[in-house]
Amino acid sequence: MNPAAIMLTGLSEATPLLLAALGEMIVERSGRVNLGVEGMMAVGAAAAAYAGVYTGSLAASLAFGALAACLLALVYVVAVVILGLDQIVVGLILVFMGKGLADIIGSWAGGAPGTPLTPIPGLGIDLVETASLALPPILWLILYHSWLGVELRAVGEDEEEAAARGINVRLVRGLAVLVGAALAGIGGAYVADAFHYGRWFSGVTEGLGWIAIADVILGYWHPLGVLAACYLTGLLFAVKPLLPVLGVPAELVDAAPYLAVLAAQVVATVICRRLGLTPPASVWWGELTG
Amino acid sequence: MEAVLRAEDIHVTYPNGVRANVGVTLEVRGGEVLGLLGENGAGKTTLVKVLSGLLRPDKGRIIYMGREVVFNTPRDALRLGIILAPQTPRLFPGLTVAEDVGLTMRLAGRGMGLQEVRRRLREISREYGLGVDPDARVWRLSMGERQRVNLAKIIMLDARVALLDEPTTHLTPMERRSLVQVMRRMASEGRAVVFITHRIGEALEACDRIAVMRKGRLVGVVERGEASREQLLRMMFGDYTPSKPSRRSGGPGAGRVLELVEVWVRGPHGTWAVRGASMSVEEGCVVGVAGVAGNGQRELFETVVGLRRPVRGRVLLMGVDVTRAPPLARRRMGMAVIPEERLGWGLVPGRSIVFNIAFAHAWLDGGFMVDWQSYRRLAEEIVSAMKVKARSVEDPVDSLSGGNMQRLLLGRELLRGARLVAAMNPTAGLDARTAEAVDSMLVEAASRGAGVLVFSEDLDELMTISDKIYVMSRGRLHGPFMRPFDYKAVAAAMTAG
Repeated sequence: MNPAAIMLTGLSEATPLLLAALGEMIVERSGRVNLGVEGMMAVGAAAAAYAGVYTGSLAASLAFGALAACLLALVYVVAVVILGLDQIVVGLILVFMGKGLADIIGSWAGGAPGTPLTPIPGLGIDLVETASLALPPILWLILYHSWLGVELRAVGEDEEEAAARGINVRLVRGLAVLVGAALAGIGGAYVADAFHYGRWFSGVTEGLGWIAIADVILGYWHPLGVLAACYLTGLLFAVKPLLPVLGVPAELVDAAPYLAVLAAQVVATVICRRLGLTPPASVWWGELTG
Repeated sequence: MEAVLRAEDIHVTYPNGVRANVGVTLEVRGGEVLGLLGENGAGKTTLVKVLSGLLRPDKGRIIYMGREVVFNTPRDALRLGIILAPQTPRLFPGLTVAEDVGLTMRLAGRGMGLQEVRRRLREISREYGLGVDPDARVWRLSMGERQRVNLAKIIMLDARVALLDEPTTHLTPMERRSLVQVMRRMASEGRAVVFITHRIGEALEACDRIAVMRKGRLVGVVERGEASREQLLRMMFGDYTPSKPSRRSGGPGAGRVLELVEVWVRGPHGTWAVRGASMSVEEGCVVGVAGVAGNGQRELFETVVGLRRPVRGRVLLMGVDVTRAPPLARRRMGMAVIPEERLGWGLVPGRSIVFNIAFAHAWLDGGFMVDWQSYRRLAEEIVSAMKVKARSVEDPVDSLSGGNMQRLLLGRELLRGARLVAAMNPTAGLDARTAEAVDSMLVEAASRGAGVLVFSEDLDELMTISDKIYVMSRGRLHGPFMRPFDYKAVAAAMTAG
């Protein structure tokens, strides 16, 4: 494989991570952690396959993926944002609920190929990949250059003070969770549509949700940082099969991506702190006192 | 002058039974600075909370421009131009100053673009001499700087009524003087300024009228010309008159408890916060570090305590090099720490008094099991020795007032027989009586032979209790200045480059 092909594969591998991680970043910027990304991606993939098989429309497939994940995330909105239950427990419940629901919805699709997502001719990347690359700069503009973004970050910094100044904390946070869920759902849909011809099978998104959460931290809760983190992770996925060919011992091949991520985490933290960037205070407040 | 805002027969009783406001009636007029003078716990803050919509009174009316108003949220008051600057400014740590200010502008119904906010903040900062940088991230600002951000916010919001709750708490004498000018200027623009303070001198200097509160009641209102210091003292304290703790004469002892040699420390941003600081603290001696907030005092304090490692230079404790020693090792050598954040650093919020005593001691005492019985006895001893007002040592520390928290903290740190006491703004936010007690305890620790290092933004306080004073400015230490202090020389060093 030539380097360009590896880059393209990396970008493709990175796309579902990027969508889900950007979504989770929005949630965490509002001051909550939704650990249910894995479940939302699973449901998204299954709903996308089902809609693809029955409507034959790619747009419907992606939209259903987003919608299904949003419906699942409503549980989180009600339980955590409105009722104030524990975010860790509810997040984990979302993971198991999502996987279970995905198995049910996916079985309706019957494993048939749905609406495959193919690269735009002459460009080498598909529509969703293109859109997901445009998303980080857009989110950066919203987060740091619009009052909506400032409000969102304010809620994530100090919700009591935000409420005292008249921000509707639950509304902002609830919307953040739903937007995050929609992005995770599209991420799941992308896995089914782009990697498996719109086909679904159990465990098709296995593990991606957790990696997305890690990429939010690696990207230091900044849209451009998350872009870099996800692309790095995607590249590592693309390179991994080549490592044995290059003579890297098999034991190290499995560990290599994680070691690389660890090193990247250290570099990212140092750079971001020099830049004065901070994680949302109410989520990772410990960082500020160090 | 016409009354802009009028509180009528305000009653507030807190759930714990404290009657914070008892039938308070007070008028605020446009174009005046109204002093609200009283001890901690006199009910000043409660009254301005009611006036700014943060708190609903049990009984009473608020009249704004001749009309009765009801505030359900602070936003209702904000929209009418009534703004409260709380004693401890609460801003969003991860936002820039401009973002924080702009957010409030928007919520007040005066939204504008971020560029416009930055431009106007810069203008106001220059005009009023506030030194506010719109692009600075809030988490890197000192409390004094945050206070100035709040002042800029009030001016930007074009407040008709500005309620300033102890705005001088974190300011140095010079900053305080410029604050008085800012307040006078705001009043001359027709605004009503309510200036809460517990310092009589400040009230006399800045205010047109002074309202004095004691134990939830309004004792009286005096005009500037008619007010005398003695009269105000009587109104504030009744029969009690506070006095300044006197520093006994006698030079510092020979033994050096703490020595810093050419210490260079980086701040959280990676820039130099402390540039080659050298100083010494002798036993039996109170050493003050003065300076405007944000000149590296915090980093220097953290270096002394062991939370920040200097890039260059050495820290010696009792002659032993502890540059690389962690805080616990330094505490074992007899270091006591009185941090600025009583709750959160000094004491663990939400936990009992006993827990907080045990928590600090257990690490020093070692062992595997926690002997709660003995710590309970120790806690009771500290509470009674330091006259901490607490119902039980099982009560959470949060239920204590600021003054009682500080007494508890001092008791825990000093009663072990410390050899070095490092204190950061130990009297900030305390009323006269408690501040005096805290200063006396620090002086007393020195007379028992400890070396006491006090960082304070209150130069008057330092001049009263210290044997020698260093001044910190832009990361450099100037001095030492020895007793008797030359006020002008010390104050001049504060602005040195």
